[in-house]
Amino acid sequence: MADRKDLAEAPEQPGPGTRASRRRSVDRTRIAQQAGLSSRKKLSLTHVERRRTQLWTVSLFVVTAITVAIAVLALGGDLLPNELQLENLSSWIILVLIGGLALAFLIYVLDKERNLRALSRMLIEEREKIARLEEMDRLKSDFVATVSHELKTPLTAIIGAAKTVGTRGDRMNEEQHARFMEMIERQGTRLLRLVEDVLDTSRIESGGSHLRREMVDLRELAENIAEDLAQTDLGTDRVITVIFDPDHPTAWGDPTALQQIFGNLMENALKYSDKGSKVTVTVQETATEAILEVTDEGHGISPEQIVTIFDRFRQADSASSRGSGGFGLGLYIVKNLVATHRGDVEVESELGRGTTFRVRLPKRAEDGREG
Amino acid sequence: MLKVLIADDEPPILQLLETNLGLEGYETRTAGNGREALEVIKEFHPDVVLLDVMMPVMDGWDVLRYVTQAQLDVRVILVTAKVHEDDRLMGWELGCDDYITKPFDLDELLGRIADVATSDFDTAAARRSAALRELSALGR
Repeated sequence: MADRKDLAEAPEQPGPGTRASRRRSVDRTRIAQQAGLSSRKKLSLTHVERRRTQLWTVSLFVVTAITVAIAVLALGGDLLPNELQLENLSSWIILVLIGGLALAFLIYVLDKERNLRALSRMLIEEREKIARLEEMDRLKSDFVATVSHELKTPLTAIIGAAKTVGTRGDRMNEEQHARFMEMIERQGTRLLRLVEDVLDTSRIESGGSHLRREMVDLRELAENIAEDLAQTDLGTDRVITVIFDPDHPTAWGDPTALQQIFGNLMENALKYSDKGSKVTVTVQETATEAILEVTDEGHGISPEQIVTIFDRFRQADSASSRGSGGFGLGLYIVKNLVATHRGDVEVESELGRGTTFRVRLPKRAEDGREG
Repeated sequence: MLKVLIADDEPPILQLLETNLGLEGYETRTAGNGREALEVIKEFHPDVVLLDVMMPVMDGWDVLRYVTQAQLDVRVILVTAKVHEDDRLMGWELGCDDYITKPFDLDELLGRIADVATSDFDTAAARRSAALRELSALGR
C-alpha cells in the first residue's frame, strides 16, 4: 500500500499547530506504531470508507454534469425547445443516463474490488503482525520462566550454604567449611553475572548504550579473560589456548564491550564442549580489520539451530547448557555489541565436531590516523 | 542407615545436599543426569531419591515414569524450580512421594525426607491423593 504512511498520519496532521500539538501527534503516531494493530487498523478502515464515499459523490456529479451539458448542447442554445428537439433531447438524456449509470457502476465495481484487495492485504499484514507479537510474547514469558529458574539455582545454593554453616557449622570439618564459603562467593558472582546479562539486554533494546572509542590491546584483554575462565568450574578441565598475530593486536572500540564480546564467546566455547577438550582463540590484526576466532571441539550446532543462534533468549539446547547456567542472552549481546562497532560476527559449525565463531571489527579511516 | 540418591545437574546443589545429608547420618550418592540416576538406583538401591526435573540426557519426569512403571521399591521426592501447578500435577500424577520447590528450606527438606522414608505404602498413597485433590480443587 503506497499510502500506508499517510493512513497512520493523515488524520492527525496538526497543521501549522503549536509545538505541543505537534509533539502530541508524534507521540500518538509512535504509540500507534508500537501498538501496531488496533489504532492503525481503525485508521485505515475509516480511510477506505471515506474514499469510497468520495468516489461515489464524484461519479454521480460527473454523470449529472454530462447529462446537463448534453441537454444544453442538444437544445442548441434555445431556451425553450420545440417538439422535435424535445423528442431528441429525451432520447439523448436516456442514453446519457444509461451510459452514466453504466460508468458509475463500473467505477463502483472497480472501487469495491480495489478496496477489497486493500482490505485483504491489510488483513494479512495484521495477521502477520499478530503472529509476530504473539511469538514475542511467548518468548518473553519463556524468558521470565527461564530467568526465575536460573536465578533460583544460585539462590538455593547460597541460602542453603549459609544455613548449613550457621546451623551445622560445628559438625563440619575445615574442608567442608571452606568449600561452602567458596560456594557462596561463586554462586553470588554467578547471580551477579546473570543480572548483568539481563541489564545489558535491556540497555541494548532501549538503544541507550554509549560506547567509548579507544585503542584496546586485544592480547591483554584475551589473556585476562582466559586466566579468569581457567579459574572457574568450566576452565579447570578444559584448555584455552590463545594465539596472536601480531604479538599485540589492537582494535579501536569500547573496552567493556570488547571484553564482553571476547568473554561471552570464550565462555560459550567452554560451556558447550566436554571435559578435556581444547578451545583455541586466535586474535589477528590486518591492515583493515581485527579478527577474533574462537574454536571449540564441542557438541556443535545443528543447521536449524544456527539460524536463530543470535536471537534473544535462544539456547542451542536448553538441557546441555544447564550445568553452567545462562539465559540465552550471551550471543545476542555479542551480536549487538559487534554491530555497534560496525563489525560482523559469523559462525561455522559441524555437529559433534565443534564450532568456530569469527568476529571482524573493521578499522575506520579515523582509526588509522589516530593509531 | 538410610540411603539417599541426589540427582541434579547443578554441582553446587549436589554438594549442598550431599554434605547436609551426610551430616545428618544418611548414606548418599549423586547423579548428574537422569540416566545416571537410573543406573545408581539399580545398583545402590536407595530408600529415597531427591530428583531434579530439568536435567540433560534424561529428565526427571522420565526417571519418575520409569520408577513408577517398573514398580521399583524407592521413594521419589521431586526437588525442582518448577512451581507451576501443571508441573506439580504432573509430578503427583506420575507418582512422586513429595514435591519440593527450589529454593528450599534445608530443615524442611530434611524433615520431609525423614517423613517419606519412614512412611508405609498406604500413607504414601494417601498423601498423593490428598495432593492431587488439592491441586484439582485449585484448578477449578
